[in-house]
Amino acid sequence: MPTKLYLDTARLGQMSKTAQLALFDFIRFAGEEGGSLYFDRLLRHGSQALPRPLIDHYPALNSWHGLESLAGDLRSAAGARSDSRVIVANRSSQLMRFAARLLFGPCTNILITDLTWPSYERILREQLGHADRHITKVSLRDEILSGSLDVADVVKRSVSAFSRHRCDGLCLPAVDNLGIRFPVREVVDAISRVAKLRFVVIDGAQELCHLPFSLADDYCDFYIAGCHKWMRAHNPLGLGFYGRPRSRDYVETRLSQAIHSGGIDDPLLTFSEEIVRGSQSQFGETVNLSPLFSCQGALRDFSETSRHEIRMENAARIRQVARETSWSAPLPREPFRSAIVILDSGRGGHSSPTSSVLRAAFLRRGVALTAYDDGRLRLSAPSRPLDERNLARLKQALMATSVQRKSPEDDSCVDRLPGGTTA
Amino acid sequence: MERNTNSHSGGSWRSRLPILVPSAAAVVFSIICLVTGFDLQVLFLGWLVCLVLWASLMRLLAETERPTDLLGIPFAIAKDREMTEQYKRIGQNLISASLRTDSIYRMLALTRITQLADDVEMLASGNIVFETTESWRLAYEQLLRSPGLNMYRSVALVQTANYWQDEPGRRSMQVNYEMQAGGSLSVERIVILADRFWPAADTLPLEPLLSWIDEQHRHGIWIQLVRESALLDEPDLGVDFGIYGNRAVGIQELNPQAKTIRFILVFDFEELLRAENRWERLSIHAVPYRELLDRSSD
Repeated sequence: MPTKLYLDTARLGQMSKTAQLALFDFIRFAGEEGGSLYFDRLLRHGSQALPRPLIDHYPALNSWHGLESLAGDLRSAAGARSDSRVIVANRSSQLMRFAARLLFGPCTNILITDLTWPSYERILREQLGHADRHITKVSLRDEILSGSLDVADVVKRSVSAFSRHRCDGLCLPAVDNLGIRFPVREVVDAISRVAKLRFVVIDGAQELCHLPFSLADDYCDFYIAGCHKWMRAHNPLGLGFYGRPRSRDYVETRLSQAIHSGGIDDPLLTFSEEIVRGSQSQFGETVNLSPLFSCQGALRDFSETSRHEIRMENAARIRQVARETSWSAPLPREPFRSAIVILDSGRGGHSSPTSSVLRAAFLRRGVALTAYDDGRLRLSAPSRPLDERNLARLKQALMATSVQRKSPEDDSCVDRLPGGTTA
Repeated sequence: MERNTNSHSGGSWRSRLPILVPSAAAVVFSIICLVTGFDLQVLFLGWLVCLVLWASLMRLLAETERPTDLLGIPFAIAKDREMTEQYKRIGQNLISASLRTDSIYRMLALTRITQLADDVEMLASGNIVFETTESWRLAYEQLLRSPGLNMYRSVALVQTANYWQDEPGRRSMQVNYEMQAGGSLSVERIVILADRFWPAADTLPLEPLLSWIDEQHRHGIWIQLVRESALLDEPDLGVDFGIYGNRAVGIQELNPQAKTIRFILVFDFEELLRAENRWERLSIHAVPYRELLDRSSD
C-alpha cells in the first residue's frame, strides 16, 4: 500500500515541492549544459546571471541566487545574525569531526549527555588525541522521558557535573533523536555564571525547521544541522553556523587550516569555501552540487512547513490515539516536548519484532514511521492538521500491532510479513 | 655549629625511621589481632608486610642518602654510567690541575673551579640556567615535544610592546601552534599586561600586542588577560613563567628595563606546586580574551 500518513520526518523528511522542482530543473540543466560556462555563472551568481531564454527554460532554478544568497536564507531559517557565517558540506559527520577539533582546541574536558547522538559521541571520542583530554557524560534521558525531571533539575545536574569534573566545553543536542528538547540555553547560561565555558557545540539536526529557535543570542560557538529531515530537502547537506565574536576568528582560522591541510575530507565544503574566499584550486575534486539546489528549494517552502503549533497539536493527538491502544506514550514535562512522539510497546528488546518487521507492519497500513529494535516507535508529527481519517488510520495500525503483541497466535499482522518473522 | 647539630639530629632521626615505622606497625597490628581474635596466619601475614616495609624503607634511605666521605662518593655514583664518566673526567683533570704549582695559576684555577662547583650544585638542585635565548628555545622546544607532556601553561609578563615577537619568539610560537593543532598539547597562557598597553578604558589591549594575542587565540590557545595594576596587592604573581605538564617550571628573569637576563628551568616538584598555586591565583584576576571579544562587539 502506498504511504498515506508520513510520520518519519525525524529520519528523512518528504521532499518539499519546490525542492523537487528545483532539483528537476537542475538535472535538466546539467543534462543540457553540462559543465559549460553557464553552469559556472549559475553556481556563483544565480539564475539571474543566465541569458533570458535559459531563465525561462529552467523556471524552478529562479529560486537559486548563488551561494551567498543561500547562506543568507539559511541564516534567516536559524535566526542567526546577519554577520554570522554558514558553511555547507556533503556530510554532517565531517562537520562534527571539525566541531570536535574546535572543541578540543581550547577545552580539555567536554560535557555531553546520554542524549548525544551515538555517532557524534564516537567522533568526539576519536578526537580525544594524545593530550590529557576527557569526555564527561551525564545520564538524563530516561528520567526526562519518564517526566521525573524538570528543566531546573536538568540544569542543576549539568552545572554540578560540569563543575565537579572541571569541564570547560559543551557538546549538546538541541533536540535528541527521541524528540527530547534539551534546555540548551538554560544550561549554557547557568554554567557560564559559575565556570569558564570555553567552547559550545550544539547539534541542531532535529531542531532546524522543526522548532522555533534563534542563534542570534550567541549562546553557542558552532551549530551543526542538516537539510534532509525537517527542512525536507531530501538530499543530505550538512550545515555549520558560527560567528560569535569570541570564537569567530578562531573557527575561521581552524577551518582554513583544515581545508588546506586536508583535515576536512568533504569536497563540497572545500569547493564552497574556495568560492567564498575566491581561491579556487585548479585540480579540485568533482563535487555533487545538487544538494545546494534542493536545499534552496526547500527553504522556499520553509515558512509553509514551519507551523510549529500545528505540529505540537498533532503530537498531542498522536499521544491521545496511542493511549486508546495498548501502546504507551512516555510524556516528558512540557518544556522537553517536541513534535516527535515516542511510543513504547512495553515488551523490551527481547520479545519485540525487529525494527524492520515492525516498520513494515505499519507500512502495510499506509503509515511510515521509525521503529527501533527495542520495540519503540518514533512518530514525527506533520505540519498539516491530522484529520479524523488519518487519526483513524494510525489508531487502526497501532491496534493491529498491539493485538498481535497481545496474542502471538493472532495471524493478523507480523506473521504475514515476508519471511514469516515472529517476535 | 648549631646548624651542624641540627643536621646531625635530623640525620639520626632519618636513620631510625626504617626501624621505627615497621616496628610500630607490627606492634599495632599484633594488638589489633589480639583484641579482635584473628588467627595466627593473619598475624604472620601482617608481620611479613612489616618486614617488606622495613626493607623498602631501608632501600629508599640508601638511595637518598648522600655520602660525604671521599670513598662513598664513587660507590654511590657508580650505578649511573653517564655520570660516572663525567665524574672520572672531572676527577682526572682536578688531579692534573693540582699537580701545577704556580701560585697565580692555582688562585685563578681555584676561582674557576669554585664557580664550576657552584654551577654543578645548582644543577643538582634541579635548576638549569640558560644565558642565551637560542639555547633556551631549544630546551623549550624539546620539553614541549617530549612524550607525555599534555599541558603547557604559560604566564607572559609583558613589559615591552614587542614581547616575544622577535625571531626566536615567533619560532617558539610556531611550536605552540603546531602542537596545539596536532592535538598533542593543550596550551594556555595568561598575559600580564602593563597598564600602558591595556588602558583601563579600553576593552582590548593596544597594538601590536593585540595582534600577538589574537593570533594565539585564532590558533586555539586559551588566552586570559590581566592588567599589572590588578596584581598590586600580590606582587609575587608578577613573574614570567611556564609550567610544563607536571615535569618542570621555566622562569624568565628580566632586568628593570624588561630585558631578559636568563631563563631557568626547574625540575622540582615543590617548585611545580608553587607555580601551580601562582597560576590558580592569577586565574582569579584574569579575564578570558574570548569574553573581551564578546564585550568589544556589544
